Amino acid sequence: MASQAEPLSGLKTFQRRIEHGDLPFRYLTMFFGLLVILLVVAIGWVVWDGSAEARAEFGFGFLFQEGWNPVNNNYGAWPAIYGTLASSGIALLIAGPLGVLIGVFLSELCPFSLRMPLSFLVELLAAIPSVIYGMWGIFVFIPFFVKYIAIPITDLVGNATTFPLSLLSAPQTAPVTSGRGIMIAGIILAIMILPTIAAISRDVLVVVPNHQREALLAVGATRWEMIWKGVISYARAGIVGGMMLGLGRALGETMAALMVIGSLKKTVESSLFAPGISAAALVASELPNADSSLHASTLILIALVLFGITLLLNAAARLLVWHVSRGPGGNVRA
Amino acid sequence: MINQSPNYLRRRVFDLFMRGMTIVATLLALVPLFLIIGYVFIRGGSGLIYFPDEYARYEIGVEKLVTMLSDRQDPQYDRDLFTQARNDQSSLETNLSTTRRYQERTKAIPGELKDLRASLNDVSERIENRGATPEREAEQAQLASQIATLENEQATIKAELPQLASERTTLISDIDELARSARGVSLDDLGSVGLRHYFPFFTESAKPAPVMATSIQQISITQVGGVFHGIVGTFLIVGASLLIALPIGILAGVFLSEYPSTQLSTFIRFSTDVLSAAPSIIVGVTAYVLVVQRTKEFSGLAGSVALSVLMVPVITRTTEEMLKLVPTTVREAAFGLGSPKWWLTLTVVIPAAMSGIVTGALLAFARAAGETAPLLLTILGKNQVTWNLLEPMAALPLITYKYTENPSPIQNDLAWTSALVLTMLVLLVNIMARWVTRKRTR
Repeated sequence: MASQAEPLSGLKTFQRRIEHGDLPFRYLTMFFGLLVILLVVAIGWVVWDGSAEARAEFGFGFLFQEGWNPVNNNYGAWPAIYGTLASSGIALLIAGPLGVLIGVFLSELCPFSLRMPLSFLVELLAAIPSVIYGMWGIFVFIPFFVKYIAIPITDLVGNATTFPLSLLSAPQTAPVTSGRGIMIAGIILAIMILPTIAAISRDVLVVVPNHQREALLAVGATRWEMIWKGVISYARAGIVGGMMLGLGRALGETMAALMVIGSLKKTVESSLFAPGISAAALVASELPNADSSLHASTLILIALVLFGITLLLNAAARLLVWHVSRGPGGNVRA
Repeated sequence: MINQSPNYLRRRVFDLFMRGMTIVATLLALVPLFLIIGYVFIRGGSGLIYFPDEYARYEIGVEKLVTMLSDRQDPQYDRDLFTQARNDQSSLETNLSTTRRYQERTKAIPGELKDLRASLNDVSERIENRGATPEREAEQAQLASQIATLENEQATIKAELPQLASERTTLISDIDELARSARGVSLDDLGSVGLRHYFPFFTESAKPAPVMATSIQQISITQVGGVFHGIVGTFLIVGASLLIALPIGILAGVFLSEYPSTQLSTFIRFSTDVLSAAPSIIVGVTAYVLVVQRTKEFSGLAGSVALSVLMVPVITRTTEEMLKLVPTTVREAAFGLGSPKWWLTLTVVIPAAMSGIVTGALLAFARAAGETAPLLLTILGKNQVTWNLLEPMAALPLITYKYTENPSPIQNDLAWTSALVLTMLVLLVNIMARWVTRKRTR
């Protein structure tokens, strides 16, 4: 008892805390926290180190060349890059506006009792495994798409070669009836990223302060004008962030893209109805049975590029969402 | 209404239009959800239903042939075949309906006979005991004749059933012949897939697909197989990855929530964000390089490593959020009783947030169970049940992918049914998690 009255030296405090077990426990949890950082570092190091051979061989220039043919030691990854960008672009073009509209409905217009169940259903769309999206695409959506969308459009456009129309022209390498192509991959990806964009839009719209709404209604705005000028424009940074997160998901999506995009790896066709390949799908389909170490290294380099792009996109997007959602009472699960 | 602007009507219509569009967009998002879940449940479920009537598959096969022939654009060539197939179909239909009726009668007749005989005995007893009256004798005679008729019918049916069966065999082989002569119709297309892997589906593993079955009857349970190897593989691999990820995730979550926020914790949070946003294929590549290339072998363990990396961020973030929901007063009370921090964290704080942490683990389990891309690079796939994590293994999503890409419709049906198992797993876990957290956050 007497020792408690005496002032403790620094060393003694340290000893006591060790005996209590507090300090070891703190360092234990810190160790596991550091392990999480280590995982990220390990991923970065593996894709950097694994692609060293390919980087020494080609640099990054091969990303913009056509002609993928590992058997002849010919590596040009432009078809994969183009396929990734085109399919993700289509996905964002479809899912972006739809997702924002859903977010508006869920946060502003929906009756309160419907809010929870509807949000849950939309988020359930994100829980379905991607391989099931791919399978559904192959067996159900592609036949429908070919019959009612692809064939009428290509018949209408024919073999146009001028730029915007050539995107919708009849493909050269495969008949349009095969269905698999960049367009269909874009549409399936749109369904997959829709819940991400919708949920984040809803979250950033909910935290817009009420005085924004009240002010616009007071000067005689209609509900939509209030939403457009008062709410969406206030939260636009967060909405853009949500779209970027969706885009990141679309860029990295592997299975659904692999199953419906076709896999034309050598050239790039101008038509979006033609088959293509995405970067993630290329890695997934060729890495397990890579012919040579250069082949494997090139595939890992493509993975590195993909990792870099998604990392940058996500960092920027999280910054935006975080910046916006610091509003009053903001509790965002982004 | 006092101060209506000149284009009030236009603004009002535009307002209504855009509000309508938000509703349309929401419905549009629900359409694919219901379509996907509906298709998975209907097409996958049909593989689980046992059709007790073994003739059903003949009918389906013939029906498919007839529709196929009538759909084709080559009527000149197919016309005769079509007429024949139609005829065969109608005879087969009559044959089958007669057979079914006869079978029902065969089952029903013994009971009726028993009843009749009982009442006959009754009448005979009454005649013996109380003496014969004309009415009683008439009744007796009527009953006797009814019994005779029934026995006759029984005999006829017994004689005719084999005849019908042989007729059916001829008809079916005729139809087989037709299908073979119909250009471009593979019997695989007609093979009544999706009917018979009702129970072995969960207990058998893969069988080689009959690429071109020689006759409709030959496709049977033994050739269809099941996905037991996939169910075992998924639970083993995901279970092992849960064992790896749980300690990392929970303790990192404890560090983030129980200790003051420093730059280090910000950095850890950022890392979990990076991990949860990293494409799963990148994680697969990492596990491929670190485990598969080092050990020179595809293995279930490599898959577990990859999946555990995907699980860690989910578990960490849920644990952190759930621990933060535990009131500070609880901690203060434990401190007041003289407990060290680590002891109260383990015995008071974590148990208080247990349901939330379990939810996080379940969500991580669901996410990992559905991942395919990392498994493609790490476990390779196998057609037998393996309990050894150091060998190549099978998993449900991988089976779904491989059977989808397989040209055989039988394998495609298996893909739908394994998709059903996977979807049910994921949906159940998600709904459960939602239910638990809703109760907590209220």
